[in-house]
Amino acid sequence: MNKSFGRRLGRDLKYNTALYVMIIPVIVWYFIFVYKPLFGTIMAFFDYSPVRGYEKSTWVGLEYFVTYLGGRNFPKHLRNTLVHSACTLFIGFPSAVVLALLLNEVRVKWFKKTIQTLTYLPHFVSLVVCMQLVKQFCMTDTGLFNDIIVMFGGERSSLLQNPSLYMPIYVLSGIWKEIGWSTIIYLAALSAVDEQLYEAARLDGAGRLKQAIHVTLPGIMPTLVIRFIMNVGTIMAVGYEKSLLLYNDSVMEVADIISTYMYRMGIGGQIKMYGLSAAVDLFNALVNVMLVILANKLSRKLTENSLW
Amino acid sequence: MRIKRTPGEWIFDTCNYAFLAFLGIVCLYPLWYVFCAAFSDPISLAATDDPLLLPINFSFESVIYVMQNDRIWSGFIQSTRLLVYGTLWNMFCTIICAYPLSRRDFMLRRPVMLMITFTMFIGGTLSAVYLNMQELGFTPERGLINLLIPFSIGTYNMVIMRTAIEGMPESLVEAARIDGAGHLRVIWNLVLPLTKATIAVLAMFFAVAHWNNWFWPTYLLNRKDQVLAVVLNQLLDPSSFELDPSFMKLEGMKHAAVVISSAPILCMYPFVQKYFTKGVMIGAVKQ
Repeated sequence: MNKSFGRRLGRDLKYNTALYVMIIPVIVWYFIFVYKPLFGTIMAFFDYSPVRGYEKSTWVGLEYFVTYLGGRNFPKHLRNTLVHSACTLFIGFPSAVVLALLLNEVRVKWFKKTIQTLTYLPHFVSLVVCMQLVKQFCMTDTGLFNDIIVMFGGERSSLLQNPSLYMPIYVLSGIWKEIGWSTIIYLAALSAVDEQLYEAARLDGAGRLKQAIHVTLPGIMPTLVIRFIMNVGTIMAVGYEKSLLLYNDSVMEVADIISTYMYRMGIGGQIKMYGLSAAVDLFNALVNVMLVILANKLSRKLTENSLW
Repeated sequence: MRIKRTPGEWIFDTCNYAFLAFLGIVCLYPLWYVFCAAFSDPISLAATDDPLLLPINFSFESVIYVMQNDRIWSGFIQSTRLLVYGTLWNMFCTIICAYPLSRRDFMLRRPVMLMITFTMFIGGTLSAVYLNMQELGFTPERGLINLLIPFSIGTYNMVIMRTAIEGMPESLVEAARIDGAGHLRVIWNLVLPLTKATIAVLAMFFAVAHWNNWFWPTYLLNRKDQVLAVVLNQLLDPSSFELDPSFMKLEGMKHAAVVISSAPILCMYPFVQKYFTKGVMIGAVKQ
């Protein structure tokens, strides 16, 4: 067995030399740039500082986890994280589906094309530019939003400094940027619905509304369900990038989430507490992995579609 | 065929078209506003309070002023270089990784694929990734290479490429191999032409990602050779005091900077539009 394995390997090496030449740098790259930091994450259990290195850092065990999870920040971060993803899940997700359904009802080709082109546009504007624009528009003196508010008889204020407006701005700017782009997948699913089903429904006397409810919706249901479940799986994985660009000191109470805290305790902070940052991230990653596994199980049970 | 519409349908259609038109305008207006502000006369712009519908006193002053700003200009050059080098480098690495893993007779295929797939689900924490790069010597004075080598392969995109190569007729590659073609020849003469659409989509992803990247450049590049996205983030921030006050005062300049930074990607738009659906769907297969 061993010998034949050796012989097979020898032959493969000879026949596929080029493949080995290609894949070996890739393997090395994965070890250096992906696996090494992965093991580096054990800094969560050390009083780690890059100057001291692992050998001279003290082992603190679960101390950082206990400090964070028991601290006064954690409930706030957890709540904010859940609010952020719940808004995406219950507002962002359905609005894309509704837009796709409405676009599907449009019979005039050029009109549909134009609307699609217009709504895809913001997707290609970079996050930095989008968030800076939002900030500019919210400014008291020169902001577009304030100009519009004044036009309708309101008063100027610094919109982004207002904690009760932060979440709506966060959610709406996200919808503005991605709603068109997220319809693509549903429109593709919609175009795959069998035309004969519509014909049969029409013959049975179903109007447009009935067709939408009894043919269109069931037709795209599998796509909807799997997208929804996968979204549930990432409910704790709200990225830090958008928040970092948008938040400010006066809205921290509602804007600070687990990932932004992880960033500020790590490379983004004045005082770098790498151990704590890694612990926060590791905790979040563990919860995420469990949620994805759970979501996958659910998805397999309900739709026979699954990630693995 | 003309289908007669009932009154209910007529009302629905009217509302639907009106709503969609409204949505289209909402999506476009902020960008249009920025465009108008950038091409307005900066002084008249500062004087008006109304939301713009058209540029006031059309002028190139803001755009020219912004182009003459050293940091924006050098950022523009730097971002362009990153886009070109980055897209080519990522494409090269992705194919170099995806092709061997798509060969069914390759003995390392399964173990390496397992090793790589694992990293899609769990990765090192941000600080560990950053410190690792510092230890390896990818410090800011090294320049653009910091944004190429550590980000050579995106596993997700690599899997997409691999799926595309596996979608080719297996007999084609086999026949070529039997006729004595080497792997490089197979890649060049078969894989590249046959997976053109996927390559185009991935190139689009890479280009957009490099152009819009701002997080890592902040940490991996020096101030003097910073990319446009980071420069812009610093210049535009309402709380920034980086610029001379004349620039701060004139919001037209800020909008001109936005136009300059977004123009290259939006110019690509008509050419890549036909790949949108494919671009979204190739990712969806694995989801």
